Amino acid sequence: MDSLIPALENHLPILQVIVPLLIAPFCMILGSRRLARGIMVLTAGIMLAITLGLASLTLQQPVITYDLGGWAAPWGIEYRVDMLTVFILFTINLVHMLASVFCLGRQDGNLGTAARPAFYTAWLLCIAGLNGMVVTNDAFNVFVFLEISSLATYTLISCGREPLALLSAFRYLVAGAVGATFILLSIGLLYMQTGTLNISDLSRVIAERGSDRTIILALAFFIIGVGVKCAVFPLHDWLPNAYRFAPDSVTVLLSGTATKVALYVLIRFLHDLFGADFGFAEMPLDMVLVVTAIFGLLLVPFIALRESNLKRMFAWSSVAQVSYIVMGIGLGTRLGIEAALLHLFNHAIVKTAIFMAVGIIIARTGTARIRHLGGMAHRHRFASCIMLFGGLSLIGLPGTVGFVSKWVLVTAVVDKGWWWLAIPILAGSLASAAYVWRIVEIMWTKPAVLKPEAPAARLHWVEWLPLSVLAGLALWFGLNASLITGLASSAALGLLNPGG
Amino acid sequence: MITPATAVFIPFLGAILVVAAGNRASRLRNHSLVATGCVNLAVLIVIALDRGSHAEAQVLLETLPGLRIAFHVEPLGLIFALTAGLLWPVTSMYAIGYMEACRDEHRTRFHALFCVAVGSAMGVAFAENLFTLFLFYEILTFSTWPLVTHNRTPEAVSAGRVYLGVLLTTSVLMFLLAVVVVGNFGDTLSFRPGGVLGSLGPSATTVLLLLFVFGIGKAAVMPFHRWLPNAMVAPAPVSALLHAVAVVKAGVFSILKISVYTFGFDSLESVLRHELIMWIPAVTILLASTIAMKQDDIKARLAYSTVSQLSYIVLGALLANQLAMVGSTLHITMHAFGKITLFFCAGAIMVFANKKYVSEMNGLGRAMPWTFGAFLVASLSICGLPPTGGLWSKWYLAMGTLERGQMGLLAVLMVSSLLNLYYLTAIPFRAFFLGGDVDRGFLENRASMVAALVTTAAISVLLFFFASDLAGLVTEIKT
Repeated sequence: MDSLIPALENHLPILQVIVPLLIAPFCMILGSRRLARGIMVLTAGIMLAITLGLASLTLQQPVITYDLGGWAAPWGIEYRVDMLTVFILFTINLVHMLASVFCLGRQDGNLGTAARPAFYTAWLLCIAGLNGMVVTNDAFNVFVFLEISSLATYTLISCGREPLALLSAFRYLVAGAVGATFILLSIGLLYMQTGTLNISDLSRVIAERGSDRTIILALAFFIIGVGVKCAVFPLHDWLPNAYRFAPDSVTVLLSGTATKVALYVLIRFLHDLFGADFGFAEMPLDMVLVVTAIFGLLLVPFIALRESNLKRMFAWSSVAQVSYIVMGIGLGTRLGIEAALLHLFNHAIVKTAIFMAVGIIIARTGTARIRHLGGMAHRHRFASCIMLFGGLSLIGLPGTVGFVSKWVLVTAVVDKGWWWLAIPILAGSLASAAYVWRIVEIMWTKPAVLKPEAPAARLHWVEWLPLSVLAGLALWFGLNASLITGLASSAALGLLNPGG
Repeated sequence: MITPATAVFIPFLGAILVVAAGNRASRLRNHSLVATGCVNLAVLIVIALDRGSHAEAQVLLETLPGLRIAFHVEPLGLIFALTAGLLWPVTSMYAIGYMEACRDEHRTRFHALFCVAVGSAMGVAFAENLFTLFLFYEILTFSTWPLVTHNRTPEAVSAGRVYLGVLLTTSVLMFLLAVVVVGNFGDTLSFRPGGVLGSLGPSATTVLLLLFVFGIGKAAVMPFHRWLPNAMVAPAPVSALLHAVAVVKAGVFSILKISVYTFGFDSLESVLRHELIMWIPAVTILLASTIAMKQDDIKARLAYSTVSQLSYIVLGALLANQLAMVGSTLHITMHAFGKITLFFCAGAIMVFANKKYVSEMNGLGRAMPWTFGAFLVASLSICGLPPTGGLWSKWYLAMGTLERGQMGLLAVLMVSSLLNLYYLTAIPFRAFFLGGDVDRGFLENRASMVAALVTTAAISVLLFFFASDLAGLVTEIKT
């Protein structure tokens, strides 16, 4: 045992990916749904433990590299773990852990007959792919893992009970395939010009030979491709229906992980591959990202305000919230990235909690129509209060995590000298208040529309436990954000000054 | 150990007690409500007597570097907290009687949210920095929304929408923006005597001042006053304590505190070269008084009267001299006692006589002598006539305008007082002297409600004699 732990320690980066990848087929092979569920939660726990292990390693050594199969970079595939990686890994594996527990719920309102063991295989493949995209330092490997997670995601979404789930999965497949192809084209162009796929190596070569039209084209292809996966306005078209028709537990998982990892890839490629000088000084990327973000955060809330379905309304809200993250990334400064990372984490936990609460209500009432929500607050107090609390955080009121990240974002725009951006940020908060309060008003003040369901379904521990953990985290980080801000800050610093 | 945080948390604790007791143990709930109020008042008095030892900021949490949840004790906040703290147990007694008389089903929710609102008003009073102030300001907004929509009728819900819409829009778009500006360009978010805006130019300071004056929507400076008349759909105790004392006074108090401790008089001087700014509250004073004259609904009339009186305090804050500051602070207290009495009376008339329009008041005086007597005393206090406390606040405010050399503003104050006299005393006048031949018998059959309104009216008179102590407290501030 004493020799096993140090031996494992050196292989943690690959274990983060390989464990779910290897375990995934067993869910199907064993053929039992109960076993598959157990395996899934166990794997989620192991993955979170591996992440924590990696986190403790990065405290001693800021950058951990791992050569796959012993082949040294740039020829072999290299895995690379630094503070930023750990930050994202922690976010997605925490959400995954809680989402897996939530997935155990006996009644998943939207999960149709497809709750076969294969569902859990797709689930694990999805999270394996996402983890792979985060730890790998190889551009082509990013694409491979992107495809693994995307294909698994299409499967998961199509498991929804309503027939339209198939259509929305297909539409996501088309959009996702276009996005992935753009990324592949970008990587292909880069390989053509530089002859390497290792991200650090690519960055070195690009910095040495300077940019040319091909590299610019590669950047353009990359931004569009990854923009689709992030659901950046106006490339968000696939997201609302995918979230709406996916099984509730899948929505919970995706909202906290999939778009977040795509955003991570955006940050990583912009700073580590293309280089901040190329993207922000040579190319007007800051303007492009900030302007799309402004449109996103101001326009999307009005779409959400007219939405008639609760799940799709919060999906629109995700599109709006991604805009804040994109704005932070677009600033290109250390504070901007810090704000983006903070908002990424905060939004992951808050939106996951909201979708869990929505799932609980759907499982009880069988409907997600907003006009059916009348009086629901008095019947499902816990879920409604969580939704209210999450909504306040989406608005960004003081005392919630949403306030902390928006405050840092506003500080970042002032720091860059673009203080006028504070006005759209605050206006966006106000616009989100409109759609959040529309729901609150219906749930708390309108008379009940539906007959009370019989028998009154009590909350199962797999429902309230993950929700309470998320709500507790959101509350704590809203009041005392020094820990998470410190992590985001050092991650941003590590990204911009890899040397010191 | 008694600290300002204690005074902030006791009402929140009271809310928990109220919920725990619930509708089933309604007596226990009512007793704990009043007891919490009394304990809170005792704590406030101890803090007031021992204020020298609380000068240091008490930091509870540091959300981010520079964003602290912290409390401190200074004279302005102390006077606001004492005013609200003294009126809270009185209002609790009144509210218990009123809600019983109305046979309301959601009393527990009502009383609990009431406690939360008072707690956040305490938070605003003792806030050591703009972040804490903003935090409790927003808790106050959200905790009073269910009280405004308490009846769940369509008009209550739509009034709630206006309420939240105006307060949230102003606070997020302007107040928060102003806080961001202070956080990034000022020295600190904390309140410091003399101000923290040393490096900001005059034009930027002017814009910032306007952001605060309009952004603090609870001060109801026109054109952002519409939420207040709308909020009158709430039960009478809410209008009484929250929309005459806690909520609106939290607004004007914030403006006063910010003008004294964030801007400082020197900074304000540089802004005041634009005299137009001082005319913003002056216009509100006159317009609101004029509108109040035309209201037949008694609560709407009182609401517009409140809008007008709030701008007296804003005006005092903008005059930037010590006399006006004393006047503003005194007016927070004097107007609170006067206006809460008026709202108590309006509620009592509603419950006892089932009347809500001024034109229906004729001849009610004989059936409700205590109510209309208290109404008359409180009206005198609002108008600023002896022997009531209202005289002193208007006196200091008038002196403040003279010190600034603004005869026009002095005239505004005087004209508005005359208007007050007309539209407020008209009500007891109708009750006592018009249509007196109708004999309705004695209607005031709920002792707790009558006791409450007589108490507040009596305190309005007592304040006439003790105003100098309060004024002395305010002059402790080093400006």
